[in-house]
Amino acid sequence: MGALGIAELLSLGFIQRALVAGIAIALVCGTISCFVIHLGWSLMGDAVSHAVLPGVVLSYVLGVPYLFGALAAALVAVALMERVGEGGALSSDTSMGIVFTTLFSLGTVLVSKVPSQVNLTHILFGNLLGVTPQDQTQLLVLGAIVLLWVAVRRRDLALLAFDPDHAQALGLRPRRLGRLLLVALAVTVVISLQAVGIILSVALLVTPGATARLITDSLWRMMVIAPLVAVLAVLVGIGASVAFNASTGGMIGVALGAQFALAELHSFRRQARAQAA
Amino acid sequence: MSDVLSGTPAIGVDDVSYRYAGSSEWALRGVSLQLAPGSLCALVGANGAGKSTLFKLLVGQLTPQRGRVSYDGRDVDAVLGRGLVGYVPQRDATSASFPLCVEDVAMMGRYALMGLTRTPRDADRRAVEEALRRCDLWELRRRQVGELSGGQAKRMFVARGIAQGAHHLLLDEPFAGVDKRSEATIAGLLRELAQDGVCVLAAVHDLRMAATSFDEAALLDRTVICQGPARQALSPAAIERAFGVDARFATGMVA
Repeated sequence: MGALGIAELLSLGFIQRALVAGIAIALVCGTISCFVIHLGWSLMGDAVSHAVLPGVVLSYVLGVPYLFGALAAALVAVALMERVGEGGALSSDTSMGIVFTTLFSLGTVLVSKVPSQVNLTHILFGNLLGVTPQDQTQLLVLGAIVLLWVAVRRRDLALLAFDPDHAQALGLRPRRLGRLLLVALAVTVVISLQAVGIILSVALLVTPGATARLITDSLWRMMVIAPLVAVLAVLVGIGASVAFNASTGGMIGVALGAQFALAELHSFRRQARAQAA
Repeated sequence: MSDVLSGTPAIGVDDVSYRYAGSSEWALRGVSLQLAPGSLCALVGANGAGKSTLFKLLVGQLTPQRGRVSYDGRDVDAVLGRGLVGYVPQRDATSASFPLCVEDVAMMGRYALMGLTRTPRDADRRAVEEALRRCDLWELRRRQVGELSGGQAKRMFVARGIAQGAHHLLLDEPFAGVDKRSEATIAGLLRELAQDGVCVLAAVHDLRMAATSFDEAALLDRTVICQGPARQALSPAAIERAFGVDARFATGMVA
């Protein structure tokens, strides 16, 4: 792409919307990923993202924006996962596995049987270049709410992740705080679908935080670095997908993985230097 | 001591029973424990005796099916949220790889006194500095929690309780995984806090530490078998009943 090509591309409405939506999604996912990795919720993010499929299909059937259907399904999935694991006989990953595969299966059945405009490929792998103005507005509003909430409660969330018993002793009601974070995670998953789809959603929910963790030992700096890592991956992903006419979601996932690999290399070298000293 | 308490106990556990959902057995049955302000009490019991359950009741994580838990005569729910109850967890209850430094953790003690965003003010920073200096951790304030020794980590959590200005300090195995020097330092800190009027209750499995570093002891085996001055409460007969072993093996070190 030459300079003129880039200028022309940036003047296109769908590219502009892809950039705005992609950056917004990256900021939200990158921020919340700092807590997802420390709470051990990576599988939860993956599970919620898969479980939204029936909600997406039904929202098309009912003629409502897909974000609402996806959000409703995500919240149902979160509630079910908590409920199934409540008895204590099953581990949490078992209950998550059962709930998300059941809901995802239901979604695939609906896709095959219910007449709708659902393009399964877009749901599975994202379609950032297909963001409509309506999608963009919804993404920005939901993303802003999550980002603001996490920013305001970041210190309580850190305590929840680090020492929930002390959070309880301080009267922070960690159970309720954890549930609110799960709702925030569900919303984040839903808005990330547009960028990377169901299959790769967990990449944006985990990799930016993990990469930032390798770069810094401060949670507060992580919360700056992780969103930047995610934004860079989204920009590189969009650019590469346009340049090579390849999957945008796939390119974002590859960019995230490459950044993590570089951070891992940096971490190894830092450890080696520390051991040599 | 409970039998000489004239006023409202700082920590009051009155005839408390708790049974976990789905269990046919009581985890705790008819537990009563009263501690005066400034008490320095060890809670001693074998594994499964109910120490963890009692601590969960004391921090409001569980609600007793019978009886009442109170601080200064007020229900747990009314006290939590005011920063009056400090908590020192077991080392493995927190993640060693968590990206926080010593100062961050001590500052967490102040959260109940801060606004919604928990943004520290000068008074909070001063309280944290004072607490870290008192626990001899000021020089290590920037150190990662994962880089601390067992004793340093325990002192960090005690510092958090001090910064918090807690009136009641609950400690879960404060001497576990701690070297001898740190044991003495922590025991000294706890005694100082008790002398300042803080009610200190620690779950302790080391009978020698319980007998030598605490004024009082309560022996727990799903109910309180005995409570009193540490050396009396940890008598061979009481220990044999609580631990189910010959007291000579369990308490050879207790005079």
